Amino acid sequence: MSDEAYDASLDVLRRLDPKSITKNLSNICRLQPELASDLLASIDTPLKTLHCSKSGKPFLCCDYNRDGDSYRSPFINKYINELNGSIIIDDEDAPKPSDHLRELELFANDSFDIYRDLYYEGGISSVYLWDKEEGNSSIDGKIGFDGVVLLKKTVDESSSWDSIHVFEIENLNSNFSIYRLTSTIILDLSNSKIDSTYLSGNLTRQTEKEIQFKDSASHVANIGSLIEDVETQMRNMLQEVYFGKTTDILTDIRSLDALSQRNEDRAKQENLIQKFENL
Amino acid sequence: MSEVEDIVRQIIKTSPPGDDTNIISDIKSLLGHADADKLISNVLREHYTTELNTDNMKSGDIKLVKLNNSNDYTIISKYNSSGLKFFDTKHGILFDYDFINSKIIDIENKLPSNIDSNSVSFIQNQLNDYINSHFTNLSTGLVIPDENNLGLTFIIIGEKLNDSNFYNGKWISIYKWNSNDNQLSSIVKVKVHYYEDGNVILNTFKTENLGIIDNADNIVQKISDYEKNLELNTLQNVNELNEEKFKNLRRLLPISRSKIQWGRAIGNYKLGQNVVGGRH
Repeated sequence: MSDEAYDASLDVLRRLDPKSITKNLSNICRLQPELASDLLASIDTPLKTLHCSKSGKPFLCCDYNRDGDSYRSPFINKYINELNGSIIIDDEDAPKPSDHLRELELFANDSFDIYRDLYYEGGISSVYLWDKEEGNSSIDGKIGFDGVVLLKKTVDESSSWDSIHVFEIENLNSNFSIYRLTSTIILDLSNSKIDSTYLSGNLTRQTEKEIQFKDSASHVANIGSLIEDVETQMRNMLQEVYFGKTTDILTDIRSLDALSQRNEDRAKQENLIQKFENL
Repeated sequence: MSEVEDIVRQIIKTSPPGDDTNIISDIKSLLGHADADKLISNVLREHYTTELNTDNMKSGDIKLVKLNNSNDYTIISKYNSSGLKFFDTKHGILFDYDFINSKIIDIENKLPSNIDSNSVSFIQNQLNDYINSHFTNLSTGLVIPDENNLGLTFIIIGEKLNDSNFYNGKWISIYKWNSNDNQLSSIVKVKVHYYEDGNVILNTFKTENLGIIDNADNIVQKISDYEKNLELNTLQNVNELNEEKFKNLRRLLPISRSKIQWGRAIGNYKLGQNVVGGRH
């Protein structure tokens, strides 16, 4: 029963109006409380922003830096309560990266901050890394790590872009790793908050690439380069779907010209082709 | 109203255009109890007998349904409902609908006694011609005379369904013409759903007063002109979202105009500084 309900939850959440995804997700978690943690981990919703009360800077929140009602700040490596903004003092049981991985996490955050600035000219980026079950991330890079890269930008309060890139690094040998990336971009476009014309949704894509590494820092560089390529390709896909496919479907439902006119034009064209072929 | 019923209602109200069968079976699995059919059926009936509204969470909907043993279609909506049944002035029938099994039931070859379809047969033919020349085969329209002939209601529905290529779309419009002041008003709702490797919705809703039409025989021509403009405006709006919003979210190329040099050297880039190529 539970499996069937889980599959049904995923199916329905992948079809309902993406503009209502957050509300529908919490509703379905209320219907099926025992599925809630799995659903929260596998359904991407627009990213929340919290302010780090110590550094004063904003950071992005998702299931990967969450512990109960608190989210880990990438700036201070402490959990911050979502409701009152206070720093959690006693967080020994909450997940944190090992010492070396925390250094890499700071490096990754700085790197993606540059990336964000160059491609987004604004917005927020946050990177969270975690150690693998096989052991803590090593400086020589031979034990890799997993992580998530988040980017968010909003324009005119009505349109927003959220990128969620979850990655795994599997080392093949002492020189090469496979980087497995699941990328979701949530894109919501409208002219104003109350405008009824909107384009809203998400595209997801999985990528796998084998790349050479030198040390742990080169894993960050490889992931960065991979995400840069994937986001550029996905931007093209989004452009094609949002501005090409949807409007093609619209003009298929209702033809701008009368269909008789269209058929006449097609007949003329075929006639012309026929004439050329007969030449 | 129970909490469960309210959740089902919100799912139905945010469901995409196209076949309801998948959504119904998903909701059944989520509810997982014997009374699920009754609850879902009640919520669907309520949804398809509620007027359209700009707020998706309040709006009802209109459904295109196939007539049994025919290639022709009819409509389920608030606008052609009478008591607990629906009527079709084009085919002269009164019927009920089984929302769980998606089929027409209890057909009677008559119209509600206060509806006289003969008075609108000329306009109905005009509407049929308009729909045939602009919509796909998955479409139909009705001209409904109000009780006591105080005005007319027009319902238009057109769909494009292509689940094998992961998209569906629906156009619905309602026009009301009042024979006292000859005012024509419109409601148009369009939803396109594209879901290959994702889930994308194009939504638009527009309600307007279209002014005075003195002669009812000119209404369909007015509708035709209005819908063409509305469609062109929607395409224009989408184009503006591309030019004014999408392009300001993430650039295709970085400001530096060349791919980033990742690694320790990334520290050579300075945040927020004008780089080669310049910001523009």
